[in-house]
Amino acid sequence: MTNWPMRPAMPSCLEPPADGSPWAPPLDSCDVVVRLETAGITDTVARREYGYRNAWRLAEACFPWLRMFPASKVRECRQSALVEYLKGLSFALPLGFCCLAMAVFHFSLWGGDVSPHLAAAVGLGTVSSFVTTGGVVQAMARRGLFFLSVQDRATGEVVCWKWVRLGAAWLVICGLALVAPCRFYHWLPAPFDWIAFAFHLSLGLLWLATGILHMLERNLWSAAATVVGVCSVVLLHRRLQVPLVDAQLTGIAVAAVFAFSASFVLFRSRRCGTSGRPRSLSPALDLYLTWPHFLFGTLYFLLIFSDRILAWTAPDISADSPVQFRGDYETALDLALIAFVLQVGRVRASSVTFMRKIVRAEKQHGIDARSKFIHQLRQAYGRSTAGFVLWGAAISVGLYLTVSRVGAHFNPRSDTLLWALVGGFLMVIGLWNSSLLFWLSLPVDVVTAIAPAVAVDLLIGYLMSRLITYHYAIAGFSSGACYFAVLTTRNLLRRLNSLDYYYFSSSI
Amino acid sequence: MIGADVVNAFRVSLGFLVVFGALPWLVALNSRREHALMGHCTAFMRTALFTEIVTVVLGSMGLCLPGSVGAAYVLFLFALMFRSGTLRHLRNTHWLSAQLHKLILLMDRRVSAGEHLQSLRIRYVSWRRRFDPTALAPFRGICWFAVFVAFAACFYPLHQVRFLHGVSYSRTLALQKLSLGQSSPQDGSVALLAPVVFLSGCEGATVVRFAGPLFTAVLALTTSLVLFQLTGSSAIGMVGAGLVAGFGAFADGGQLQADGIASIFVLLSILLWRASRLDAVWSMAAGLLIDPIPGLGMIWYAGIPLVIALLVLSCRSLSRCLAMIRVPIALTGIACLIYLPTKLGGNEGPYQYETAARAMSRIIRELPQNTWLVVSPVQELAFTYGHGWHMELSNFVNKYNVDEVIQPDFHFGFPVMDTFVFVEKRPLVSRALGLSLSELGTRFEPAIAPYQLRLSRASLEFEAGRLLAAYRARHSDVQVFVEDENVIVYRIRSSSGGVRPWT
Amino acid sequence: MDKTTVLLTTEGTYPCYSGGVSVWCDYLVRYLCDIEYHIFAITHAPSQQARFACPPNVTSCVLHPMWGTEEPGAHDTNFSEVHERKLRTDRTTLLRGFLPHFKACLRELFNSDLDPELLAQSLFSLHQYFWKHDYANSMRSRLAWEAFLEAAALSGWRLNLEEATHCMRWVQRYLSLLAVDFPRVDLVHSSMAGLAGIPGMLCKLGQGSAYVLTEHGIHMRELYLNLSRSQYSSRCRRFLVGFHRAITRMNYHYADVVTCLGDFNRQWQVRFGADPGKIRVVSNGIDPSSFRPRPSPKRSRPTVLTMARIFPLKGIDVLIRAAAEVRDRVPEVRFRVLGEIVDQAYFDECLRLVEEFHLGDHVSFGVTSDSANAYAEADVYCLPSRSEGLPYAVIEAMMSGCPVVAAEVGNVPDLLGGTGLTVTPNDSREMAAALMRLLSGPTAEELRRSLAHQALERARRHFTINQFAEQFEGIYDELADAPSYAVLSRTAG
Repeated sequence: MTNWPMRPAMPSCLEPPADGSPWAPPLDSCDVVVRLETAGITDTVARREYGYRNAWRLAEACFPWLRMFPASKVRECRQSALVEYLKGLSFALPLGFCCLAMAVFHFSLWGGDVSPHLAAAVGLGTVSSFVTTGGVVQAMARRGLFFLSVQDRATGEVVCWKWVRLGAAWLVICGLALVAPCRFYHWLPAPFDWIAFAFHLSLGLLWLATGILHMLERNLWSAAATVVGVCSVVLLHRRLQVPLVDAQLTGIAVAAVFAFSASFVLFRSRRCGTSGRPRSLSPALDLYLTWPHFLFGTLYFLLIFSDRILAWTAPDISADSPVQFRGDYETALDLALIAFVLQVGRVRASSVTFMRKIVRAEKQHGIDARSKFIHQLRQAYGRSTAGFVLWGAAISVGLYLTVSRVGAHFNPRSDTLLWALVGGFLMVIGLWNSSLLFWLSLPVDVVTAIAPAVAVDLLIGYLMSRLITYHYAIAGFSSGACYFAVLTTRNLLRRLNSLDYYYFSSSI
Repeated sequence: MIGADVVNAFRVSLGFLVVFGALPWLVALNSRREHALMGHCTAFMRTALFTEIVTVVLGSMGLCLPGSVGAAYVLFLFALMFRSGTLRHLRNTHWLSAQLHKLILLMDRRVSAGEHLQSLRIRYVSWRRRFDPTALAPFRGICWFAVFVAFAACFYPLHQVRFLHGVSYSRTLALQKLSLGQSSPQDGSVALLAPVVFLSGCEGATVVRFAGPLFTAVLALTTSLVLFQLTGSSAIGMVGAGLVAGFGAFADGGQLQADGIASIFVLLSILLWRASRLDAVWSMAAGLLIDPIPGLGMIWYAGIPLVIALLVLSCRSLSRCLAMIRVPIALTGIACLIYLPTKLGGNEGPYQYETAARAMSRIIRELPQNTWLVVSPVQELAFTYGHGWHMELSNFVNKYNVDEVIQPDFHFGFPVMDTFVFVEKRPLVSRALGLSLSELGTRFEPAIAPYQLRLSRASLEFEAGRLLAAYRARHSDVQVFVEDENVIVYRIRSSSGGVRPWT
Repeated sequence: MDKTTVLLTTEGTYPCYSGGVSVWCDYLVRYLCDIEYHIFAITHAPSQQARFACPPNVTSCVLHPMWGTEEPGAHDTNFSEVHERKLRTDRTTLLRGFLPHFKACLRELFNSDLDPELLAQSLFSLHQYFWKHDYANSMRSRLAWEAFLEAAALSGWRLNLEEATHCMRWVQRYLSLLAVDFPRVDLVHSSMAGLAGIPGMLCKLGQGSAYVLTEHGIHMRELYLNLSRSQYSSRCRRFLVGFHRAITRMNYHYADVVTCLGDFNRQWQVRFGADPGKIRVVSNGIDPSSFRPRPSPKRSRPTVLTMARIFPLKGIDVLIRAAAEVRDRVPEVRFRVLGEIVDQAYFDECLRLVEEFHLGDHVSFGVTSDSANAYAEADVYCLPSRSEGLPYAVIEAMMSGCPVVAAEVGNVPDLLGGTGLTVTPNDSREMAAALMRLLSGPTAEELRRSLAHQALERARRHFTINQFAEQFEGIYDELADAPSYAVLSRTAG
């Protein structure tokens, strides 16, 4: 006959709650005593109602039984991959509205059916606005997201506005630095150089504003700002007969003001009463933490847009200015952009999924099974990358065939389109790797990959556009994107070998 | 417009100083040198040789463009800096971290503007102290004289647009083709100027116009340095420089041609012979690249200082005499540069009327590129190339006749906005006309023949004048653009078609 | 004669947060005005600002955020100094200067049979190392991570990688105190036995300063409470408990004097390793001139007052349930709850209960800046807390001549000493019955007056600010005269 210890009469306050609220089994009898006392079971009550000398004895009796209860399950709040994908695509909503406006009205927030000089001016201004603000937006997001993640919204807001001011000053400096050689070398006849400067400045401010909204994950507000801007342009140009350039500049300014106002309102609404005053920040620390992100942002847009600049500046003895907007080249790139956007939305979804896999794998593997953990995640990475390749190939081929069949109206050059599709596909692979490297707080690895990629882009794009025709400037972008993809893959695979360590050091 | 010419002179000088001043200085900083002067001369020679080779090679591929040349210079400097060990720090992560730390310190302490200026001033003073003022004393006079030579030689190009030498037109055309990235037979004397075109933002004609005086100044400087090295006397150097300047004014009108430019490098090779035989050989090679077939001009330019040196070394009293008259000789050289080119050029010609050249400049300056057509004899081609279109006057005259143009519904139909027809009221006649025009060396050799013969040119001009007068009588779209007693330039505006870039 | 300098260390309290401990610290620095204080406050986040104005005898006030910073220590020093330390921290210095001491520290943290002196020695050595080297680069290095995993494996802890990540993260954050340069002081007075006590140990070993440790709520007890509601795995919670227990034992070991608020706390301190011979009871005290009986205005409705911040341990939900019962017998009763909202979800739950029991006209929430008048306007003070030390609110109520009904938690029975009504914690019915004794019935008024008088007498005898200040002044003087601890030399790390 075996004597099993009898389960003592346990106070109900010690048992897991029925409503499923968080509960964990006690660690030791001290833990049990604390729970008892908090529930009002003092020594007196323990003696009176449970027959133990004091609460400690009661705790010692209950503890062996309580530790067998399972902890309450942690409910993971997950969004589906489709939602993440759509969120990843949402950055392109403003672009989508611009394309729609172009199709309906034959003009948009910028661009339209304009003269070659004006098109060149607008194009130059647009490219320079992206390149100038790219780094600032990345740095702003780096700092802003950190403060928002630690619930220091007041400081997050202050940091964002500080970077917006810096970005605005940087826009002016870079704009003037570009206007000076433009005037000196007559790249564009006056007043088109100042028109380029105006677009550079206004679009740059718009990117800063939408950068804040993107950081706050409010891309719908960015889309709304675009719609407001486009409506302003339509109203001014169509109804009030304002010249298109003036109307567009005004529309961009309206969109920027709208976006800034939305950012302001969103920041204020998110601040809770106990968030405290914003702390003072050291500019040196800002520099130390954000220089890789600033460099990445600038180089990324250089990589994306260098081929356009090379194509527009390809020598043409019959051209009437050194910078010529190439409509046919642009058409091919815009079509390829559709494929790029559809692919790049996957980056966010895949990154979130991969991070979840890391967390799950960490739970499954002990500290003595690190090699298995790393192996499992390398395989997961390989599968995700293969998914990118398949998805990218499908989108690119689909788009190419569609354009070949029904895209005669656009009349793009097929070789340019093909290069652009290949380049976009490779760029997405590079961005996927970069996303993971950023998640692991390894921005320098991304910078060391993108810098040589930009050099390759410039070199090959230059040679191809000068030796053959400007249509082949896109080969530079494709080569640069390929190099970027290769280098980021190499860097990431090296880091994946110590993923446990990098995950730890990134999450502090 | 003197104002525009001054601006152009400034631009070309800026480009020239960067390519032949700043770049060699950077090269000298990154090269081993025992002697400062030899180091700078070597650096200048190497930079020029590199420029020559790179532009010739790139030009042959049709890649002589700002980007390629710029990239070549960057690689060149990078290689030099790498070899000299300047870049060794970049491999040292500790050094990089230390630089980041300095930047962080600066941001943390937020050094005031005053403190920053003070630290810059201290750096400047310590940099100045590296140079020995006594060692530089002999060269001060020589350098100042070279500057005066440059100003004097610029007198003619500031007042006259046309060239005094036929070969200048062909050099201009070659430079334009080179700088537009076209693959064409290379002219060694203009390859050096391609980077100047890119940096100055001026067209080939302006660069050739103002580069001549600057090269004259460099030649004067090189001559005096050679004489200083051979004789040990800066006074003799100034004498030689004055003589060379005077000769240059007489022979080339201050517009140094290929032989004069090549002479610079021949003299440099003499200068560098003692310090480094290899560098002397390279310098000679550079000279030969510029002017492969040395002519009389090179012999004169290189010979003057050598002769003077020989004479001075053999006769001490001559040295003293020459030293005493160095100032008058120098001033004479300056005066020759100012006076002679204008005198030699005569009132007009021999290749182009000044009015026509100025009209050409005005068209290039005021109208957008490639929206106009110039109908003229071949010498305007050098100015139009790359900026607009050109049609040979002979082709124009052969294509149209009076009966055709007087029809009310007749239009020339050129796909441009403006057409300019240059008609010489007094067809160019000069003592050097017949042979000199052929020196222009354009692609349009078949068209040259009619201009070579005096009667042919006269009849062409006359016929062209008749055509335009007849057309003008019946049509309102033609006006006189420029006219004087020698030349009349008609402007025909297109009412339909053409490129309209100004919307 | 030089003033005695004291480093007062706090965690999650004075001067950035409100609460009983903050009030205690404020009284301490104000009423011991001959002492020169340096405040070192561990806060949760860098955005916390001081809520209490420091009196003139507070020479410096350093806020050290435990979380929310990217570079520990970078917010309050020039970053260039931090960067200089980073440049000095390379693999060689990590291997020679950091790793041996860090491994020794980890061995003790994972060891259930801890030797507090070994732990203190390793922490002090790390502290010396961090004078010249960077904290973040060292603790975030691969060597540190590998050392942690190795120590866990050797100690038989079968952590998974997620747990190891959490645990090492905590170590990295909590030990950031080691990178702080503390001022030279005669004495360190810690308000908690947890992390706030580490400076005491470091100053004692490094400067020979004396060390006083005062506990209000018991640190380990509160840790257990918080962990019971957390969603960390049991191994993570066990690690955290082990870490804090090690630190607590170390602090008890090095403290020269350990003070507590009463017998209840004393038992817990002994259980967690404090030497009974070092423990002294020093009660809280308040200024009798600020809180005294005042002529109360005529009230139409009997009022029950509770002064407490709104979070679960304060038991406001118990009060609301009791209020429902009292309202049935005393329809015009009014319950006033004055205190800031700390837990919004709990406050929402309280509002829901008010609505459920239709107590909208009977229960009100708010804040006040004049708590003395609030007591004067109340007929009864009620303390429904589930856990307390020696609550100031009860002392204030006693000193203001307000009768008290309180849950029998912590040192409250000792505090009241029979001059108030105590009830079983969490029992709303018993609380309602006690309140009704004082609010309704023929003897209610007499009982209220009698209890108020007795409570007032007791408070004036035992819980005045002068007694409080004198006791601590005595402790400071005693320790200042005592021979100093053997000082370990300040050698380079």
